[in-house]
Amino acid sequence: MTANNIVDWTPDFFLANEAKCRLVLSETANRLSVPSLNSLPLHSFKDKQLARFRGMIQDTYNPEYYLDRFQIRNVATNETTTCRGRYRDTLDSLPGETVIVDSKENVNAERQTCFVISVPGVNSWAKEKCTVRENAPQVSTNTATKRSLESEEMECVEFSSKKHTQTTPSSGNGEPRLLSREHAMNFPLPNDDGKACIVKIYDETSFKLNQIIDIVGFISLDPALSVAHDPDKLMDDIEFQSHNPPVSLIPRLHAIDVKDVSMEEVPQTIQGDLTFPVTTRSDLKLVLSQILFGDVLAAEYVICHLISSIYLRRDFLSLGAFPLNITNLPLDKCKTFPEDFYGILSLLLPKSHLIGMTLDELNNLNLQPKKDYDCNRLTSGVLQLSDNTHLVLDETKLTDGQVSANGRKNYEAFSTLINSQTVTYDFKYYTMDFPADIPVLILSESKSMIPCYRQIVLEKNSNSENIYSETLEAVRHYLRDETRIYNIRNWLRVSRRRDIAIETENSIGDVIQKDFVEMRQLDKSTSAEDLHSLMVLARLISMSHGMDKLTVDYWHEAVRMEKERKRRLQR
Amino acid sequence: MPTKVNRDYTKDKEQLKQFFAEYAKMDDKSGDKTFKYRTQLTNIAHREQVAFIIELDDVAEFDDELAEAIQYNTRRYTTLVSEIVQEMLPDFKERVVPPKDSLDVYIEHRLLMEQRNRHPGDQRDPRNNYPPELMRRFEVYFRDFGASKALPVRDIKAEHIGKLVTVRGIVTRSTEVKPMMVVATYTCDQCGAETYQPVLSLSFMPLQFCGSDDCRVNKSGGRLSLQTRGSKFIKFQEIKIQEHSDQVPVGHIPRSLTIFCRGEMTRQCQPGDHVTITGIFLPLLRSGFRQMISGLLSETFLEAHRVIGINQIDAENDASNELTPEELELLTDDGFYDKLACSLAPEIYGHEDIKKALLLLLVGGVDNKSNDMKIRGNINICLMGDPGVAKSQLLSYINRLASRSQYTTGRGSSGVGLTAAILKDPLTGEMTLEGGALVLADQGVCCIDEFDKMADADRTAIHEVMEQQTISIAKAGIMTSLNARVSILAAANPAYGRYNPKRTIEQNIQLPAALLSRFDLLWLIQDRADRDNDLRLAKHITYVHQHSVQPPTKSAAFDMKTMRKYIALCKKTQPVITEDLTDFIVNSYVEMRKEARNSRDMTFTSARNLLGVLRISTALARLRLSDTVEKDDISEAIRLIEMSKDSINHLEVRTIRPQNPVDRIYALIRDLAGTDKTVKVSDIFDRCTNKGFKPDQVNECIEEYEELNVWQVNQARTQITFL
Repeated sequence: MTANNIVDWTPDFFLANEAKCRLVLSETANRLSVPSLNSLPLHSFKDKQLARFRGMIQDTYNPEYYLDRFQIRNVATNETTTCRGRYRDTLDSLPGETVIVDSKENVNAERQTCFVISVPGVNSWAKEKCTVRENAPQVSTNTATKRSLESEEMECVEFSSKKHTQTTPSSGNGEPRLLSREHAMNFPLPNDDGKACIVKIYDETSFKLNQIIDIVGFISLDPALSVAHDPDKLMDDIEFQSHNPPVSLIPRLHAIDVKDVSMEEVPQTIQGDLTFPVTTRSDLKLVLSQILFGDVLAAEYVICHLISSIYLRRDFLSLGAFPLNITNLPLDKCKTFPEDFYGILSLLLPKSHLIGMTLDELNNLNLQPKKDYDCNRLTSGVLQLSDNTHLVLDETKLTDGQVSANGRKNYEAFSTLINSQTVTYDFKYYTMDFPADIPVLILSESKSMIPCYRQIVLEKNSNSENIYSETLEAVRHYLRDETRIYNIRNWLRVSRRRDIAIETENSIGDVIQKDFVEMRQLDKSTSAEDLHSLMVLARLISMSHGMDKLTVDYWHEAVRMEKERKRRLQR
Repeated sequence: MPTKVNRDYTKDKEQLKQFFAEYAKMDDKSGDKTFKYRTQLTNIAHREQVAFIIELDDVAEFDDELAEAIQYNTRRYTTLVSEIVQEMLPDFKERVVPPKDSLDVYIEHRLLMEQRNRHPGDQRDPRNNYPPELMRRFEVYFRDFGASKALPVRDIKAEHIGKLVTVRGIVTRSTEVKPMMVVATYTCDQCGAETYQPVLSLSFMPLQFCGSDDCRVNKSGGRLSLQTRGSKFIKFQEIKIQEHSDQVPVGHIPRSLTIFCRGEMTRQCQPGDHVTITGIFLPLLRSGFRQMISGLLSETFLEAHRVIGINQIDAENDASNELTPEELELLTDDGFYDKLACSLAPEIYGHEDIKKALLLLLVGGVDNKSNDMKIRGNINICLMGDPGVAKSQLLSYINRLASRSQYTTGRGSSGVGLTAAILKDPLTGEMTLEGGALVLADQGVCCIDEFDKMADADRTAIHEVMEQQTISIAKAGIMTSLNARVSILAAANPAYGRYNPKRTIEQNIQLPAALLSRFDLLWLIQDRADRDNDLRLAKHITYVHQHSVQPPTKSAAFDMKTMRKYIALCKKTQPVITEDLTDFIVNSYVEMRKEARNSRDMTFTSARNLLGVLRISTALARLRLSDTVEKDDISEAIRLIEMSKDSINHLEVRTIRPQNPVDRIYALIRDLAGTDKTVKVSDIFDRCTNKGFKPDQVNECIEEYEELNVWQVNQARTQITFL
């Protein structure tokens, strides 16, 4: 066995040649050649094989104490050998061998345990691209056709057919279990082909909730782990069950390397290429203004919304969020506008989610994650999303009726999300605010019922409503161009990450201050909130134009846009 | 490291024995020596006490090395102490104790049996035959050093295994208290001999075959059957605690810990209680199949030695809450008062005086209690103001800063409301008293948003809370008075959206004067447009955006933790107002009254204000960590009260656009028309001349609004019709 043949590594081999292996793994190409759990079915993995998984930390469990080094005695020969407990769940001892529990040589250690799920809300294009790229260097894994799936199943003899049926979601209750697949997987958003993993992390770095991590580690598929119940436990064993789900559903992964990938990776090729924003930005603007019935201002606002993310957070203040409320939608003529518009957005954004807010949904959705003390885990809510997952609320479906207590709670949850970008998690005995970075776009007929500072009234081009379906088709066609959409997607990513400096020394600060004082003199209701919002807008406009600092021109542009927006509001 | 040293346990045993026998504490008052452990042992010998509690502080006084050794390997010493106590007990027995339960009878019988069967000359202690656990009627518990601080669950690591640790947390689950077998007793169906099996873990494998001499020799293969009555059981409860929210780093999930409570430690807490638990952190031994599959893992638990509910206020006095001398020096710098005030909600710009007032509210004045007369020291503040002036933000900041606080809205979210409710337990049908926000915030701050929208029932109760600091309940046969020693921080919105300076506060806030006068300070927060202020605000905001940090104030703001510690420190001082200040206070008050009488005052100046001055000045003295109130404190207190009155009385005179006569006439006409569509012109003239308008102006108005198509005038110009 050599270090270069990455797929054949075993925990023991890795422990023996750790430095060398880490060096091999640090090469991106090598890392990518590790088969990915995200795209490959579970049955194509062997126990203790190296696997890769990318997902969001949904919950962290208590740390585990394990025996890092321990001694085994062979009963027959009375020989003792030292073994390592790292990167493994179970002992593969031969018959006649026993662990010496009280040996002086035993070393206890601690490892972190996280429940990691597929990133919620990833759009299909972003997913596909991942798998295609990941699969490329692999030898024989084409999951697309059914044929190869079957042949693979025959290859993996060690997996019984019974286990195979378990992995397919259709027969979730293959054996009598208390907990359903949905319960076990605990996704915030419904996700049919999502995966979940219990990841054991051995180093000290602590990971936060909702962080997206990329793990390379040894998969553990020993069926002994999914034992159904624990006779010793005094507390109901529902907790034990939900912490020890069947490996066929939720494999364990012993991480040897964990990377924080919360920040989207920007493809190296485009970075620094400053020429591409000009055309791409206008492409995007064209697309958006067309679908928004020819309203250029609204398109500008949406562009700013799409590249917004939080850049400062301190106590109550979170700067950079750009929630938007588009109103005055021509629903009588274009009923499907919200869905169509979301359809276009989902082509552009890697992660997004549409909530069609009917009264039922409002009353019944579980937005806030909640600690379930029976199972001792965090039950996810819709708002448990990773950073930069765009949320689109379609309020046009809302009808009048009774709002339940839960509905009120959900309403509060949306309001706090929009206004302070935090999500309140319910721990029953107290609540905790977790910071979030979820841009929210609300589509409604008139002012949204959820307080949202930035409301833009659509100004429709006279004829555009009538040719709506044609426009939509044209826009879709326009976006079918591979390079164009590829550019737009990357442009959005690059723009979001652009760092804008508002320089202190030059005149811009003075201009802003002067303008603000004037605004206050003219209209007394102008508040600090308005200035914050103006500065955020000016910053986003500069970002979208590929600037690395705020200029006076874009500041004036922002002031002009806000004026126009406010003018529309008054009518 | 004491763990590495192999201790001589026989020596330790002797030492401990000596310690129990000789340890005595001098009583400061009487000078008598009290033998703490001897008393305990005597009580235990007479079955009047079950728990034998050893304080590590006492052991440390005797031999600090031994105390440390105990802390590092507590389990071992627990067994050791049990043995010692067992040996020592007979010496402490002064009289015969009547048997209390069946187990006592059993023990007695066994001892008798043993004595009868004993061969003469055999000098063994009869109890040796039985497992010592069976005969024991006491439990040994250790108490952690008084100086050791309570750790968060997160900080309990592998290194703590086997040691005595103290953790703080909130109880999330608890099982029923169940009997757990400690010694299983079996009898043989062949020879009748009793066999005992001590049980150490959570489960045990029952014995099957008799091992007595009779059966062994005869090979009769006697079967054993379990004797429930002869076995010894102990109360057992498993609870789970979880870290409290302030111990969790941002973005992390609270950790939890399993705790096993035995015997006397059971039933000490319920889910939802805040507790500090001292116990031994141990790995859980699994047996059988479970051990096989868990293989390399070991679960851990804490064996409780002491469970304290910290719903009492004395909770926060652990060592971590003390300020270092450097911090203290920093805090008591010149201008620390302004600095501290600025550190409150630094992201909210301006409002220095309000922040100062809030700071004083957190510190609180001194309670006065003489005989039955009780004068509250807590300061109540009400913030009023137009919507969107950061009232709620200030409230929620204070809520987070205060070590004990409740945040609620006037409406109250639960049926319990603000005060208390009598609820019927669905299971037992018992009536229980459940405290509302004001009760829960006892000894703390209760932040009430939307104070004006309070339910009527709560409104009456809050009168009592704000002066007497109690809540009296007389419902469903329960008559009681609950403590509610809270500072109330209320926020109220004006009744008609905007604060109308022309009206009184009662009219604006729609709360009775009786309630409003109970607030020591009433602030009206206003957003005024004034050039300098605006410029500073703009600079502040641009700075935030430019540097992604708050602009540096004259001094760096203190973080919440330091603030909390300092406030806790301030609360410990009990400043008094010296005699010589009396005149000054009296004069100031008389002055205030005079001023109030002579000017157009919207607020209340009453004797309550005098008390307010005293409260605020004692709070100021506390803030200086001083034991006496000085003249400056009183001046500052009066200044704050004046400022708060100013904020209401000297409202910025709104630039009310001088309405031109035409508009005013139009308003009159609208008024006249009421719901009717038509108005007679003659009526209009009558009404308008009454109000002092000239006919020209009336005509002008009619024409102007006709042009605007507001109304139509008929040909004869006798009647107008609204459109």
